[in-house]
Amino acid sequence: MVPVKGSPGEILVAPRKQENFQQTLSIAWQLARLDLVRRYTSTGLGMLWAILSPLGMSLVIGAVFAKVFDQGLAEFLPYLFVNLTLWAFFVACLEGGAIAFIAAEGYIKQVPNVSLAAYPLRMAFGAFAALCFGLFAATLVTVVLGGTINASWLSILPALGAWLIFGIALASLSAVLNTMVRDFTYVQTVGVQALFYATPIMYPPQMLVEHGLSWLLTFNPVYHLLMLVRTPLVFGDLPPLSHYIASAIVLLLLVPLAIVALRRSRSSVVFWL
Amino acid sequence: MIDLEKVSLHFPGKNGFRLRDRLAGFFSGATAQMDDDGVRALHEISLTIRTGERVGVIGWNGAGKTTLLKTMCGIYTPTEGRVQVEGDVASLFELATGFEMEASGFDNMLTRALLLGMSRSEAQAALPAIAEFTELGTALERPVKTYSFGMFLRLAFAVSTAIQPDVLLLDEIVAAGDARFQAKAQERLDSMVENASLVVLISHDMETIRAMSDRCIWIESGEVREDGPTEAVIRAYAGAVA
Repeated sequence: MVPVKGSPGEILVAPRKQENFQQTLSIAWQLARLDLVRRYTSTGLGMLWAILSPLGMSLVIGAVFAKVFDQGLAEFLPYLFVNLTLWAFFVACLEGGAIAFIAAEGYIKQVPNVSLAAYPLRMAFGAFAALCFGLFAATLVTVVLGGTINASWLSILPALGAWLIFGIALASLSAVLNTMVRDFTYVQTVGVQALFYATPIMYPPQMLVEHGLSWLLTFNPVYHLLMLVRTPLVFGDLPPLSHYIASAIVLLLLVPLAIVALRRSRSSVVFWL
Repeated sequence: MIDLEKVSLHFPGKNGFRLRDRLAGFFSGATAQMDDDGVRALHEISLTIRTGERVGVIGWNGAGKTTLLKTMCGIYTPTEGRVQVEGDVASLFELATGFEMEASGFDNMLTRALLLGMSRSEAQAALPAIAEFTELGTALERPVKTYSFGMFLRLAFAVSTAIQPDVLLLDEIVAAGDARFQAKAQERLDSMVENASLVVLISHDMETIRAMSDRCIWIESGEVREDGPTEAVIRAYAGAVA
């Protein structure tokens, strides 16, 4: 970009075609950063809430379910903590995505040539920062409670990449669907709630298997992605290959779908707002 | 160069909000849906604006002037017809919208600079000069929710005019603030207009149109009513108003 001469004391920069990927990323990250700062500076405890909120939930649920399943709280707590942190990311992407375009109305109606993807990306980035922070805390919790952290922990890093892509695709689809059809918000809320109970978050997966509901696991995309993180983090094992394959299939279906949805709605979103 | 060929734009009306229509539009890949109760904002507009031209757009409220400019720069995709623009476009519309209310003036300037196409490092480098231009001083560190309308305008104007486009689209730019700032803003706008290869501006002030354009387009009900030398079109327009 060549600086252009203007009146004295001014920096005039020549505009460029904004719809390139790097520009989209830097817009998304800038907006996500502002969201994070706002979210965590408006509260007294700030970023600590990313830990305290799942920790509190884990303690409450753990206290009850450790009894029900006859497990020690020390074993059960890291399990719950990791699950709830990942689940919070899943929900944040869907709910953030739902308002992504609506919250960006001022930009969409005013600035041309900005890729619509910037706005769901913003939501996914914000949620991802909280996820990374939460998983760091989960590792600490596991260590403190005497869990095993070993070399398999490193397998979390590529798994996090998969979660980020998962979140971006979900946020994009949610953004398109919720802006196009406002009623969808209610459907989505019910669906997410139902999935919460169908996913082994508060209980171990064996429970579903024992009751002949193993198909609920097989066809639950969140479950496979969940296993990629929690097997190494909580149990110190590498996840079975089947979860990697299933997660790859989920992403291979979801990502093209999200891209098509964004492309298709590109010229319509401004009219839906 | 801007070339519009039989451009029509229909805002979807109540029917357009029905689930069925939206889904149908989405799956068929159609852009804005055409329906009976929608608004016909632009109707078969064909015009060519060549490099070097300074064009004024006039017309009553709701005639379709802003929609025309927003279609030229790609914010709206026409329902029918073709829009072709050569060169980088920048537009100044509704300047006082599109802020993160809880974020500081600095952060909002940075966001806007990125949205306008600057890279992060370019934006960082340009920020001090932009900040100085706003004359908002320490207020730039405050959340913009504490700003007055004039302050919003100053901030948005300073960032939006920090880029120099080939094609410049201006919508009723009212320079903000006190007389001194207005003079400074006008000076900057003039330099932008001078450096742009093509300018289209909307105004209700005929003196502005006279001063800044050599060709004038009168838009009425989404159609071109008159298109010609500024003085002649203004005279016709004034005659119709009287």
